[in-house]
Amino acid sequence: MDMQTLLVIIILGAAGVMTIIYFIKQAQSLILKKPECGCCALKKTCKPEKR
Amino acid sequence: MKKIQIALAGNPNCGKTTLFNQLTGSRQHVGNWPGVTVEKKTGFFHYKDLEIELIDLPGTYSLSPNSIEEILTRDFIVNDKPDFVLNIVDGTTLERSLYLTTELIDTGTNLVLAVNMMDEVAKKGIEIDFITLENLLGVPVMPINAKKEEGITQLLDKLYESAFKTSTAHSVNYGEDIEASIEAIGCQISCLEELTAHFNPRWLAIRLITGDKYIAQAVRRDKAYATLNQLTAKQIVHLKTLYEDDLDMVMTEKRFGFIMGIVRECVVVRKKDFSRLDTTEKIDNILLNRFISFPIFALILWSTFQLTFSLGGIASGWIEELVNLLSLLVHRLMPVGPLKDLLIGGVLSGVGGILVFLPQILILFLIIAILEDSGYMARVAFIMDRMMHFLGIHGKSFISLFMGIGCNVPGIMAARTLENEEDRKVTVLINPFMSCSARLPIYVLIAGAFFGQNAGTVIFWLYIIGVLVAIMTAKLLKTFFFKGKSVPFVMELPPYRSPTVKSLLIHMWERASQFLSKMGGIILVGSLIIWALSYYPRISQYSGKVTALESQLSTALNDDEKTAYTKLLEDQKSLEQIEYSAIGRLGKAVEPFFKPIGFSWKEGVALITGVVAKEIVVSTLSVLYNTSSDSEIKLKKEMSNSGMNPAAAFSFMIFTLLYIPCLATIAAVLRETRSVRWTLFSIFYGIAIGYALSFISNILGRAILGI
Repeated sequence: MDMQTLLVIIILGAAGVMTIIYFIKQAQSLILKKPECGCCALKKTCKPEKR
Repeated sequence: MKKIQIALAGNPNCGKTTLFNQLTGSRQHVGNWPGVTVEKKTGFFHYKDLEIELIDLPGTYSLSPNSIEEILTRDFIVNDKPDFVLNIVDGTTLERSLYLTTELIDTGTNLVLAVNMMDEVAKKGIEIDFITLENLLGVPVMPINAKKEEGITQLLDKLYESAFKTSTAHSVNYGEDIEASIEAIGCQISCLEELTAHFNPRWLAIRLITGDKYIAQAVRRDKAYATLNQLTAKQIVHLKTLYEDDLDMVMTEKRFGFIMGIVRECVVVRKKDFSRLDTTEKIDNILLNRFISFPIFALILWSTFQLTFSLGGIASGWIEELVNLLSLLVHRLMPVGPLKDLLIGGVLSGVGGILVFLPQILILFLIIAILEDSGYMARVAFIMDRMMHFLGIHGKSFISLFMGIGCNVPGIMAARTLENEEDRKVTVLINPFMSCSARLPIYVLIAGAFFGQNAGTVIFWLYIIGVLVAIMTAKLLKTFFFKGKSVPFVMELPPYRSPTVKSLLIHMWERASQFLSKMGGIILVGSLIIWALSYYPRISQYSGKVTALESQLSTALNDDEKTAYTKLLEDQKSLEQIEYSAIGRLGKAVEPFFKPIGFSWKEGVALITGVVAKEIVVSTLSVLYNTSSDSEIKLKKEMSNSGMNPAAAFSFMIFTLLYIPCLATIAAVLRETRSVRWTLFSIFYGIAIGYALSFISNILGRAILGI
């Protein structure tokens, strides 16, 4: 395998990893965190959709 | 080094974010209209031996929670208990601004008051006695001018002096009877550890008496607080018998009474600034005129796109030349191989193909920043409110839609300012139809290639189509799914201010840095992947056309013929390679879907990759048509060869505008609606409406142009 092909494989591998990270980050941002509010502080079941 | 946390709180558009940027060196977005900050932002700075964490909270007029960003502000102050709340007030509207101050004092938090916009206070002939104000409120007070960085050091000195001292603020006296009830309920609360761990007893007692819709109801529901609830109910009945009115109203009146007393003591208006009032009023008489306000807005918008296209084109040319030069250098210096192809075909074609649009983006956002900072955008919201209400949509929705022009994600988040949940969801769902800055390069490229001199007008109409589809969709959603009534909209109209060069530069830098970081990230990676998909697998056997061209080349008589045949041979090989590649096969598979709306498989693939980020549509077209940055003429030729014509080009831009939003926007829709159903609706509705309108536009366009 010549040097150019090797470098292309490395670059594309890195691009692939970065794509996976990007998708994971987007998925992470979707984890719905229950917002803190007075009701949560009172340990009540706060229904975010009501807010 | 001691660490302290300071929260910035105040009314909308009082200059919190400006001060935040001054203190922390951040470049958060600021604008001359309410509702710019909808999330809390954090920044750090050092002063003397203090390490200060500064939190910029969304603007709010009171701590009675009406919208999400107001709840966010209140909850942060009440639950997170910052060491300090730095309350920024607009010195020109002290009477209104101090209402929040009185509520903040009730929370028991450590408070420092910064009276901002002192230059305007002076211009209006207002004199404020700060020593009396400090004595009457019992909180440190400092006049500042955040925009001009005046009084900032003195403010920090005040903060430093007050650090770790107990609050000596004077609460509003609500009168003997209410105070007695507050004390009785507060005393009961003090015995309940779970409550005192979270709330100041006096503040909670006030919230219980006024019937706060979240906290009071939560306490009422809990059987553990039965005694407290009984006492509260008894006190409320007692007070209602005495006042024969809504207690929230009674207490609000008491607060305003307290504030009016303070203002009378420390504020003197020496002269009315008639000239200033006149200037704003005179401008408003024209810009807000019932008959010409809308045409003026349309004219401003049209001129914006004309300027963006014509001026931006000049600077784009320089970047194009630079990218071409780089391509030439790589071509000459590197030996033949896949890395060379990757650099020219992937990096320079993909990233360079988009980078050339940086000037257009900067010019567009410079003009928008001027409109925003001058106060005109607040007027636009007012103008649009009439139309929005006519369609049953809340006027505030326009602010969210307008922010979507920058990027749909903050636009969707700006919908948090809407108090009505149904209006908020509708606004979130229609925001992806706004032409964000990522779509601009696609418009500039395609409109420039196919519409020449009229490109600016075509782009203007694309923005208008986006707004019209958004409004129609909102009407549809309001008619069939969200039938609740819209609440009235009161938009504060700030006085016209001349934008500062610094603020405009910050706006441009914000946009440029976002664009460039996207270039180095998602667009670079996307371009590399698209290149790899178009480069592999390698074709082993070319068609008869290539063999024929090779034999013609070998028999060429002179250099001119040889050059021409070499070019033809390279183009044919490149075409066959791309068609044989993974992306070519994907394109061929999706071609039947896109064919009816006039697109070839290459545009189809570009639209699919554009789901990750819209700019990638341009990268993909550049890679697939191998146009790098010697752009428009070659692209037009290449696209025309694939069957593209002005009618199909326009429908391609319509489809790009309306089809699936980018990944980050989909995530934002899901986050804000908290509904998979509505997120899927947003995706499929976008595809359906995009497809339908592109189809109609293609047919109409072909009929008109006689193609």
